Amino acid sequence: MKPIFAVLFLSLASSSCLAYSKPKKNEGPTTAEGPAATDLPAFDYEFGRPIEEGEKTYSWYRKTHADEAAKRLGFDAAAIADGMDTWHWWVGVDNPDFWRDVAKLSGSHLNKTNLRLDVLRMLLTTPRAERFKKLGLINDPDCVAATKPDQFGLTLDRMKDGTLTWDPEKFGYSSGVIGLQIFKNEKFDSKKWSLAQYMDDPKSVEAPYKIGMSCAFCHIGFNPLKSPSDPAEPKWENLTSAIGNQYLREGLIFGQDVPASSFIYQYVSTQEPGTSETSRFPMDSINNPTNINSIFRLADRLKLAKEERITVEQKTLIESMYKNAGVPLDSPIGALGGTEAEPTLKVPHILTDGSDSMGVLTASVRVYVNEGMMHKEWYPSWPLNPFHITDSLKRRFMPKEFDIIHEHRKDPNSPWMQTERRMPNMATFLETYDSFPLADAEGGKAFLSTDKALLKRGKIVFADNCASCHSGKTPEGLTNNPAERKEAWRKLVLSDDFLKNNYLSDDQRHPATELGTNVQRAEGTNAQAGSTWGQMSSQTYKDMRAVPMKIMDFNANGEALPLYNPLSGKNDIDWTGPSAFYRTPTLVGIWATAPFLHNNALGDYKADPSLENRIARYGDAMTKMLWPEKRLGIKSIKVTSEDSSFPELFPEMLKTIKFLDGLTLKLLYLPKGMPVNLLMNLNPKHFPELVEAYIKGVLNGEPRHKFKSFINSRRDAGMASMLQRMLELNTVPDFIEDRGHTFGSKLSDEDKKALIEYVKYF
Amino acid sequence: MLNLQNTSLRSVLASIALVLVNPMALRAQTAGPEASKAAIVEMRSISFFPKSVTIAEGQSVVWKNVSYTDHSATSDDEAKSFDTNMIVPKASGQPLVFAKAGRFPYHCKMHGRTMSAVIIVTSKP
Ligand code: HEC
Ligand code: HEC
Ligand SMILES: [Cu+2]
Repeated sequence: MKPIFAVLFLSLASSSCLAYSKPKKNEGPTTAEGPAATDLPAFDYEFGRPIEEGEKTYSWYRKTHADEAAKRLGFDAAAIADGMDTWHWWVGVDNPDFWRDVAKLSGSHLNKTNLRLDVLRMLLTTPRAERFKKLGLINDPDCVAATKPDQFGLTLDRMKDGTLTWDPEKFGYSSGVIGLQIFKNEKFDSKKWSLAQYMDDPKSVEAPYKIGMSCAFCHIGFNPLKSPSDPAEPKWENLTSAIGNQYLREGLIFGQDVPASSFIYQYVSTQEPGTSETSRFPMDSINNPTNINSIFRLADRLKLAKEERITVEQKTLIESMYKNAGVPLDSPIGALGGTEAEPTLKVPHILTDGSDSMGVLTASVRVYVNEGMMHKEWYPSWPLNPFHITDSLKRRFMPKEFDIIHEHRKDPNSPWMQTERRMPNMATFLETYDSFPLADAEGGKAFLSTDKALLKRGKIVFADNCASCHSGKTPEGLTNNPAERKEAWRKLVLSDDFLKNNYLSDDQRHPATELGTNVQRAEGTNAQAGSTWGQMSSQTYKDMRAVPMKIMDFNANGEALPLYNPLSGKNDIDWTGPSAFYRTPTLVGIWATAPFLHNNALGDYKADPSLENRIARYGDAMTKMLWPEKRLGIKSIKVTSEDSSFPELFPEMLKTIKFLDGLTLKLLYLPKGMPVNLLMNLNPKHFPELVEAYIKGVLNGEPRHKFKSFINSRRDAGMASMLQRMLELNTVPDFIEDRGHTFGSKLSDEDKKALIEYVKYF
Repeated sequence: MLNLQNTSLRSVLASIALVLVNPMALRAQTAGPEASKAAIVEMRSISFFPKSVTIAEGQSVVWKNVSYTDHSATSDDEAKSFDTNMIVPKASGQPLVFAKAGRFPYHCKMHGRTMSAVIIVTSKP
């Protein structure tokens, strides 16, 4: 078997460097005239205790995985190891500067919200022992908690002495949380440094370190076959790099200090665990956090890639990218085809909506931008650019494309270009994860049924109801005759090697009208032409989205209904949007990754990575999936837990609103029990209209100058009118999170139980 | 600017280090007639110690790894005029003779620019 990329660029990958801000010809020490001029502060990193005899470190983890996978797949172990380093520690060169920029926002006087978008602060204020419990973060086994403040008064975790086996200028030092790497801050001046001042206003002083974010931050999770005895102190053997962190509380990372009486807290605390709101920065005015999905059987998945149309400019882009990264034009990560005038690319459907449709290389580098790589170029593409509010206002919060075709790949040493060159090995690394069979878990067999008849029944139910979407393999010579088709699928599923090398998904996009699941994520617009990622999606994707689609809910009998209206309590929202799709997710290892669906909304959550809890969560989610009447339904709508105040984020925006005498922002509070997404799914350009709706509600036809005399007696009317307006202006008024995907709900209880037992073997 | 080179070493290591390398002694050596004795440079967690060593033409340098992970001493010039390759913890490299006068900056292949130092070779009078 060959790795995805036929050409490995180990040497290229290791020659890149972090000094993008000041590009030099020869990076690193190369002349005999003296050490290369260093612009890094000259202080030594303080290590923690030395590694102990026999202690397993990242070096062990990397070597065991690379050697095992190289043997199993015939790949080059060095390429896998290099790819793992990139996945774990590469921060796209300059994303530490992005996180620094963002931290400056929180300290500014513009922001009185207690929202602290500051990773360094989070690390300093959340001790190692509490990080998992509070935020679901995964501590680095190679670190120990600081026993005393370092030379700068910082109590960051320390790497154990002997665990640093890479160039810290390139990959940083571990912060103690996997995926957050610390780098020396070249702007640091020890004479000006004050920790107290930094904590008070991070904008006012440069800290000794900057923090960068790598892919592993969200994607590493606990190994379901070897649960940690203490999730706060996992060992390397308890971790696996591509399953996705099911416990991450992304919203709370920055929202720990926000009081519940602020709407911001209501927003961040209702984000489902194990999700990331990937359109938070390039905001699409839809609150649609997405499950950090597992990445298994990538090579099998690539065999399901489909040709999609791309533009001639995109073809030229792909050719140039493949050249830079050393990827052949017919690579399975995205093979070029079609004609000069009508080119195509054979692509897997990456992301839950299949929008990332320009191949694995484009998709991977794109994510680096979404974590802050080349942020200065990226900010202007955001609809709401907090670094330049007036510009956003001028644009009426319209997005722009991040222009890789014409601009951001020009400099061969740009972070984008450097990162491109690292991707072949990273993709090879990502190809190495197969599955986590429950039978292989310590004590796993106890949860598996060995009842042959029951399992056979489960297989047949799966063949009849699920396999058409949830299998990478299809029966040969399928006819149009329903009875024959059924037989063929059953025969395939019953065969002994059905599960082997099976991606357990067709990797295709299915319309929301067929699935019935909440469409907020699928209605995302960032990959549309003119938006941030507009150049990184195929023409086929764009054309599919262009067709209008009436979005419906479904009742227990499967009959279509208008969407549920939380203000009227009735299914009376007729709403048509761009077509919405979800790509079938893999069911590989699904016993370990409940809750279900793109938003992790189906099934109860418990922050416990033990085998028992995984099985319990699986049972709960499967039960709710197959017996829809057991779901939360309208209780799955995200609502506020108390009266909360409007987020006072940007004074520039407030200035655009006409307040009448007697009306203040405080008055316009948001009532307890209100659906969070009434407000979160609004384009900020609509805020003035909300205020106007409130005023109209209070006035109820009276002239405006009488506003002050009614304001106290008619608050409720003002509020009701404002909420109604929020609904009318809502970007995607689909509120029930756990709806849809009711396949199999009409089966007998016995069939459902058999199916649940069989799927545990995935 | 702070330069706390010793902070990462535990007390045990520190005492070994003191015995092994005394920069003053090294300088005395290079000045004296028995300049052929090897100068010793320690490889520590993420630094070389001493960071700058002055020797006379014809004298040699031995790198001794007193840390918990592998390191190399690799010259910065593109020709890679010298390279000890990776030296494992507790081991020392072969003595390396510096025949010509000059300034020889070097670094560790694994830890890069952060772990770099220089050998200064003075010509014989
Ligand atoms: C802040 C959290 C976060 C970080 C950091 C992160 N990801 Fe992800 N990743 C996600 C989420 C959420 C999804 C699912 C998104 C979706 O489907 O819309 C995902 C999905 C993926 C997928 C799988 C998509 C599929 O179709 O199966 C790949 C590949 C991926 N990410 C690559 C990366 C790379 C490369 C990096 C590092 C540059 C990275 N991710 C960093 C959150 C993150
Ligand atoms: C028409 C295609 C189709 C059929 C048939 C189908 N599914 Fe799915 N399935 C999907 C899609 C698409 C999703 C993702 C929907 C979403 O997240 O909104 C999904 C999601 C799931 C999930 C959640 C996966 C996760 O990672 O959260 C499970 C479990 C699942 N399906 C099991 C089944 C079972 C069992 C059957 C048969 C009873 C079945 N599906 C039938 C397309 C299908
Ligand atoms: Cu080293």
